[in-house]
Amino acid sequence: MTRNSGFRALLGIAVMALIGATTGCGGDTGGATTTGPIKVGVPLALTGPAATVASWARMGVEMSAAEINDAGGINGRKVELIFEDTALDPTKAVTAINRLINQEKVELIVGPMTSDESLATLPTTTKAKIPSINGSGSAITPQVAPYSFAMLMNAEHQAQKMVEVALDKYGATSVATLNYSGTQGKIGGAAFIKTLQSHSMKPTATQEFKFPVTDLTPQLLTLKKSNPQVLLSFNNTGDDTGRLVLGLRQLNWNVPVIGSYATTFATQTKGVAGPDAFANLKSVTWSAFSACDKAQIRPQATDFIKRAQARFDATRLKDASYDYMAVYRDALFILKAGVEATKSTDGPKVADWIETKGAEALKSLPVVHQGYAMSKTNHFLMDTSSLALVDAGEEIAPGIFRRLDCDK
Amino acid sequence: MASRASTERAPARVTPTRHLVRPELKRELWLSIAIVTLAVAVPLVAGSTYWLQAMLLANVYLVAASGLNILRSQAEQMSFGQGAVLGVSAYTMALAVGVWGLSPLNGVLLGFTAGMMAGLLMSLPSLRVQGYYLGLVTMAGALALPEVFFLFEDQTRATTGVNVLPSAINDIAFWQVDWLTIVILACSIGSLVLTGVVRSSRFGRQLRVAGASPEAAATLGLRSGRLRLLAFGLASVCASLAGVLYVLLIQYVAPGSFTLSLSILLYFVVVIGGAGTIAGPIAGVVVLYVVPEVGLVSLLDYRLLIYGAIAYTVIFLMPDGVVGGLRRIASSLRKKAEPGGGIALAALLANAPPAGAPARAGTGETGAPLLKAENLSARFGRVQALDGISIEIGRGEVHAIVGPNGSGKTTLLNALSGLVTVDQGTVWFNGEDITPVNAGGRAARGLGRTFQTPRVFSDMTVWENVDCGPSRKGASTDWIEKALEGVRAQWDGIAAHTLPHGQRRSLEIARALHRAPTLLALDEPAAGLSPAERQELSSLLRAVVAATGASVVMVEHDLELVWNAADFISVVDAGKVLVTGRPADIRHMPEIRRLFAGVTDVPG
Amino acid sequence: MDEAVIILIRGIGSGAVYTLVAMSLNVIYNATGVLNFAQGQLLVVAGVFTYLWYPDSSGTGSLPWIAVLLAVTLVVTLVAALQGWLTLLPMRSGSDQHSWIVTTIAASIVIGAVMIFVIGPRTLALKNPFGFFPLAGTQVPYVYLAISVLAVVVHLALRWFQRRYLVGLALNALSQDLDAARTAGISTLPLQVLSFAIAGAILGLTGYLGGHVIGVAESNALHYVIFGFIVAVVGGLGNNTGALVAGPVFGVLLMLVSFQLGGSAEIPLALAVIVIVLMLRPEGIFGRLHARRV
Repeated sequence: MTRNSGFRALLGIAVMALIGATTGCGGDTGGATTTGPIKVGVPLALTGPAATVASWARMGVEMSAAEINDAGGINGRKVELIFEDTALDPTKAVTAINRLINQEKVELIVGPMTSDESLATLPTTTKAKIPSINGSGSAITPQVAPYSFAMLMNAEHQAQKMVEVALDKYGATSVATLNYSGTQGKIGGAAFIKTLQSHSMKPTATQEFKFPVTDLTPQLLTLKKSNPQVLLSFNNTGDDTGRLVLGLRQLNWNVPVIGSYATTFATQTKGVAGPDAFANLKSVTWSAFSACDKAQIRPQATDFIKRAQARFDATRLKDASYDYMAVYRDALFILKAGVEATKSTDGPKVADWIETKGAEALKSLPVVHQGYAMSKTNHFLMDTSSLALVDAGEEIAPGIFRRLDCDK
Repeated sequence: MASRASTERAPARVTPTRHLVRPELKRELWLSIAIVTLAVAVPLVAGSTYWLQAMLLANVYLVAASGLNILRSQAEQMSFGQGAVLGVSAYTMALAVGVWGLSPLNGVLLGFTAGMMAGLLMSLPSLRVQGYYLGLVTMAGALALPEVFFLFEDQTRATTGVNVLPSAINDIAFWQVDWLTIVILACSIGSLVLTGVVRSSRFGRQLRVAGASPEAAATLGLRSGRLRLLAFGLASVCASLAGVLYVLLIQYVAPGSFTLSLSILLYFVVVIGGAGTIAGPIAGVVVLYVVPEVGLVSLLDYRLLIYGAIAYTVIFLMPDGVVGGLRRIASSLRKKAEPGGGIALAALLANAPPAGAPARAGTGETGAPLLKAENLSARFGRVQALDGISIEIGRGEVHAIVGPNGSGKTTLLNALSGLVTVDQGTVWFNGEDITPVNAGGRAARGLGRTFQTPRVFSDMTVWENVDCGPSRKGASTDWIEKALEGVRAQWDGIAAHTLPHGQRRSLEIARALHRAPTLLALDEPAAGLSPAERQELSSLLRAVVAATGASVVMVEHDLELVWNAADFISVVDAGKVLVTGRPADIRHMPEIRRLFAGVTDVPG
Repeated sequence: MDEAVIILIRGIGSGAVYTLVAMSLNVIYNATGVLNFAQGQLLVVAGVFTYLWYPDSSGTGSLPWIAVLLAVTLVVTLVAALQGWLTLLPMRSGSDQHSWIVTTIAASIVIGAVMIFVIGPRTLALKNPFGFFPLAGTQVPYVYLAISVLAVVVHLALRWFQRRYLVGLALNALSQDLDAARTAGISTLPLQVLSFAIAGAILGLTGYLGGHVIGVAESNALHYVIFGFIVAVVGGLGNNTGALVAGPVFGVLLMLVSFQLGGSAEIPLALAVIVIVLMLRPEGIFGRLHARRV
């Protein structure tokens, strides 16, 4: 029978491929070793819509691994990074984490980058008791993530801070809100309304846009019509920030804008909207890379920028956001501190140390960011005290924004 | 005559063994089952949790892809919505268990039901549009799904996604094997068996006809709309099942997991693996999921490039997909011709009851014409295709319709068989006014039909091609069934694609005869035939009439054939009948002279 | 009222981009029966080359804009022709008439991956070549007008080409009956590749001008081609006049929905449009009803 020989061939190929694959990759009977290099899994959305940001995260982790290895490793063991692509897809993230834990036998994990990927993978990481630091901006609590911490600024914290700035610094009595339609944007948008409510206010208008954005005119027309004193905008990238500025300018609408963290991606923003993009736009971001004047610039920040520029070539660093790189760089240092203090990579032990001793210990450790405040009840590494209002369009030194909420 | 004798003695109907799965598919099915079982068993034995998880997810995709395979290859429906159906089922189950607090079993039931409803929604457009358009509508649905989840954020928790905690199904059943592994493997084997069974069944062949040619299906008395919905239903069963398995396996859902790329992946898996084969989706999942996502993870920067390149290369080198291509290579290596052979309708007809048997359809009084059409008009846009045409077809006659191109011949045939709705006019069949009856109804009353281009499925056997209509109830079809049973084994061994062109006509006629028609409408049966084949066709038509007492009406350009085979000739032009009569009576008329200018010497 | 005027002008401009994509889809569809999924990516290719060769956002680029326009158009024409040839090759084996679905999506994936290698996954900020004009107290870039004019010009040029030149006539003949053209001995492959090249030229022009209107991002490619499909189908597949009308109407509708109901309703609405049109009138608003082929 002619049709069958094809199948015999197919079966043969499949079986051989399977056997090859399984024997080649080996079973996972061995368990984690305590000698040899310490493997760190890094699941990032290296392709897809978040690929740009992922490339910054990758540089941050690469930097910390190199620095740690130059200084003798973690407990004397060299760090070996294993990258995985999640493509911003929770299913792929689950597969990636599975491979990292069961196949590569990683002992620590830095990533994934978003809260949905993190939530999808947490059952697996928790079961394997792997200490990890992910890039979520929401939803990470000690209950859902006993051994995992979120390093990105909490979307709700950001939104709260933005509303406070609008009311206190700008003295606004009416605000309108805009957010992109992704997870962070939705949470930020909801938090705007909630925070305003706590001040017995509500937005004059709310709007939403899909990323990647095409033309923001209709959204801005709705908002302009409601005539607010300040516009709060929760953005996703420097590109949509640039388009926001362009749109405002083309509508001749000079409303002051307070933007979320993504509005600090100045190079991208200026690329779209020109050099004066930040005339009306101020941003809420981490305080680490801002200062009120030159004298107050933190040496940790300038040192970090210099080291990054020495390590990576200009094309990789183009448009990169140093503060974003720095959180991923810090993440590995925090895990290192936990592992070295507890002499273990066991999730419960490391997490307990980070919760109880981490915030204090980090003050004397070479981390770049500030405002670390994790605890038994808070698994976000940094709290609102790490946030500041800045003019992302003005650098008082390379990579350092001018801070606007200074005490006079 | 021996055959005559056999009809007399036959006490009971010959019932040869019916296979649930055709014998030549059995080995493919067993091999497929062996592959999926090994794919799960090897990582289990090797103790590789990662590979086990990856293989289980591959099997979940396989379940959904197998359903799509039936839909795409058997029913020829282009759907980019399979991933969306999976998504709805998965998301609903996750919400039910993770948010509403239902038990996992109730969650599975609810998720499955929701998936089936989404599948029904996806299938409704197929009643209205086909081909690209159906592809686009389903694609729009798949594209909209994540957006819809976000739109109903309060209900779906789309921004955070939904976690589902492990349940009893994740417990160990024996050794290191948990129940979920067993269930997934069972479902994936089940989907393979389902493919084999559908592929082997008459139902599957009916799907095929309904999908490939709704007109042909209608003239066979099949209800293609219903068949299409059934095919979508089968595909949705698989997708919904895959959806709930997905939740049990991944324990988390978010809108981002059910984007259009999942539907595209499933479609690719079917086409690139080898559409229509049982093992095709396995090969597809291996090539498009296991290799790029699992095997080549270390090359992550090139992953998309590899995925695209694999898809293109496979289609370029193996247009029938991996499995189809391997088959082709295997058969060309062996250089053995597939069992060909011819089919002889004459032998079939020899089985008929004595010629001139009383009107088989029974109801009409003899003497009245079998079919009578009066004053039919049909208009397409600015073209008046039929302009008050009338025609009568007597019992047991071969009636040829001739005329220049565009004169309305095929439209007339379509109007008679119910494929075209006329603006005015009446059609009587066996004394019954069948004007309001649709094509299926007319087929059920004994009107058979063939088409200008034979609707022959080249990847099926001759027998499978013949046996794809519903059996016609009430017709005295015993003799033809017995006759066909007699040749069944032989015809089931002949691949339809080995048939020469002329024999494909015979096959179509046999398919129509299978339903024991009282009127057989043929559209250009001689097109593309060699002179010898035309000769055969001519005697075949006479034999059909002689053996079955049925009438034949045919549209034909080959005037030589018409002259030899027809009892009556109607000359049609501009939507009207110019002349009707016996060849001998009309051959001196000027209309005939003009039309038959080239062949007037033939009839002499 | 001011808002209505602004939405109208900008809606027509962004709709014109989808009209142009739809017309390029139509050109290929008429000649080959293929709906080319890679066309969103070809638009991205145009945007990328515009960005690479015309990077200066201040308007003082080293090359005159017309030179960049021609160069970009030429490159995309060639890429499209190559992609077309690669798409049509497997179809000639005739074994599966739908191989193009796989090959065009595969081409789209491959082009996308290459674009990411070339420029990274960024959204590109394309230069606005012509400045602004004032409208109802706002400023509208001239490209919104330019792209609308381009849509009309391309439409007229295609008509003229199809009537004036033998090749155009032959392309038109393919659209009437591909099989007949083949049996009539017309060598179809070069003509079909030509149709891809023409589509590429349209996309090159569109990418150069439209990039500023809609923003060029690799991750948007599917969005461009799906919206192009929607316009093509609503206008009637293969019917350029239909696309010319349907595009701006669609563009204005999208903006209106964003303005009135919020930006999150845009995509579901767009998809509802296509489903409704296909259900009620599968041949599109301007499509001809083809007699059933039996």
